[in-house]
Amino acid sequence: MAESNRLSQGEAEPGLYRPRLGACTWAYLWRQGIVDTLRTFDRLGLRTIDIITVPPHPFPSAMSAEERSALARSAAELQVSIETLNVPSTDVNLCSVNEDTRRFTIDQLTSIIALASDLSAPMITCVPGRRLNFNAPSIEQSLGWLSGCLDELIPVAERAGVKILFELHPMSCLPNTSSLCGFLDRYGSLKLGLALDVTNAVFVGEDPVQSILASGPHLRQLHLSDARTGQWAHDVVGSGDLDFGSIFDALKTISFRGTSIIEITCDDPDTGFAASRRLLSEAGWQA
Amino acid sequence: MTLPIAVNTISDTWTVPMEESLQRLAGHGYRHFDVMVSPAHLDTENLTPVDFRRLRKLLKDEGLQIISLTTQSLDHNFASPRAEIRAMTTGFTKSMLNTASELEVPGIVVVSGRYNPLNAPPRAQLEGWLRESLEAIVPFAEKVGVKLFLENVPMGVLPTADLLMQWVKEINSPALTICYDVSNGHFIKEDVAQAVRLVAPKLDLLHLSDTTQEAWRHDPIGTGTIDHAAVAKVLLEIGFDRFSVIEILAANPIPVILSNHDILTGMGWEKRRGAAA
Repeated sequence: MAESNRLSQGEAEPGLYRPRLGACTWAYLWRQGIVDTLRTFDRLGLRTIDIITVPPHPFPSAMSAEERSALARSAAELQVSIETLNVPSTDVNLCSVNEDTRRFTIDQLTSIIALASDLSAPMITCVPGRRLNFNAPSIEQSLGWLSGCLDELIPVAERAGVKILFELHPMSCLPNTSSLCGFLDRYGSLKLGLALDVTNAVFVGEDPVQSILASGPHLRQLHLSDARTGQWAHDVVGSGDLDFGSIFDALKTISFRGTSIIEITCDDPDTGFAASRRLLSEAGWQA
Repeated sequence: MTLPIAVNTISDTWTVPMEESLQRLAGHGYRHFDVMVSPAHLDTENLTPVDFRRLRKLLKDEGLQIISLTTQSLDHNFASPRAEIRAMTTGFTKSMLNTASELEVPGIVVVSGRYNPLNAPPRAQLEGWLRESLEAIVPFAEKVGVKLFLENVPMGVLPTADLLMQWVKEINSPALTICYDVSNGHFIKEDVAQAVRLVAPKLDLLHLSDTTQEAWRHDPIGTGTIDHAAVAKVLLEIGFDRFSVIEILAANPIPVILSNHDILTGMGWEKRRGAAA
């Protein structure tokens, strides 16, 4: 299923690299329902979608089979493709010290994988567990708990035909590209991949160009937003200090064929997405 | 008067069982403890009646008292948009309350939930979820006779002294009071001495450590920028007779606790047992 993710519209024109743009529903989570959000993205010409799985947007325990079918129908009618279901980091923890929390997280992700399957989404995105910034257990313990959870989740993902992407996140137990890719190399499952968030990478002190170049075959999805240097933000593209031309060049260097998801939060998301899309299109991306 | 001191076991959270921690600290004269809850230290979800008997005997034989149980705020969330998370948090908190009841601990420290600051839910919804959780847990705390000490944390729904006080006064239960953490308050740029004065009518526990306002820490006193003497002055003015807890992180905690205690003694807190006159 992930192979379909590799089709770039730019491939229709030999020699022209035009990585695909998509959009994340996060900015609309508290503003409008999911179908209205898909309509908004359709209107904006962004038709590859990353859905944040928090109520009132799609969430497994709050959705009947009929509601899942209805959402899949709406997406098909709008001709938008749900590429990923995104599990925010706030309330689940794959490397928790608490066995109950890890069990709860496995159950939550299992139900998200089932929802992804119902919505024909080929991938889910999650954070590989969170650690306290002080008074954390040893990293070896944290990664042991993470691996234990994956040992249960990977077979679930394999049966469902859904890939699990780990997102680079400042509060995770694998907070930078080298530690995250190192873990993916060691764990060695084809059902695991990387969703690289450029503003998260900058916030942990990385150059996103180097992050992309170092991601190698693990990179399956890129999250795009902007931020001022030193601030953790997901601002409108063009309003911060990131160099999207260099990011584009890095994607071209590795021939990235996945989707670059615009994942911004702002007071006026319609305008913010339109501005982000315009700037990224000028830089070479294609919606 | 001098201000009573207790010690938190935070430095031993992940590596040392609680009994070992308490016995080690008791060897240095400490009798009152704020104990961290964790699977390696005190696993409140898996304690058996045999465990409770053993722990009660230890406390009685050694003349020790656990004055509060504290947990890390990472995995539970009273203000989650997801009902399952709120239910799990309430269940976990009940296990802490039950443990506290079994061990005759007067209160447990809880925080007011968390949210992602990059895209926070509308304030009314966030407060609604928190209120729903507190309405579920406060009556249970009243029933088992253990207090909830609501603590200020930077990422909490109620991060400031003012908000804590508003909520605790409004809910108005004898089982809901305040734990004020000076590092957490200083990190979000509160005037911690004034904050202590503000929450004084509901203050049951004070957490002491040091931090700067650039990096959130629970470091040894004197290594950050908190004016602990100003806090002591307010505590003495209001006649605070509850425990101030030394809650610092250190690889080798005992010498740091002892030296920090001596620093605090010079400001108005009680002298440690065995210290030179």
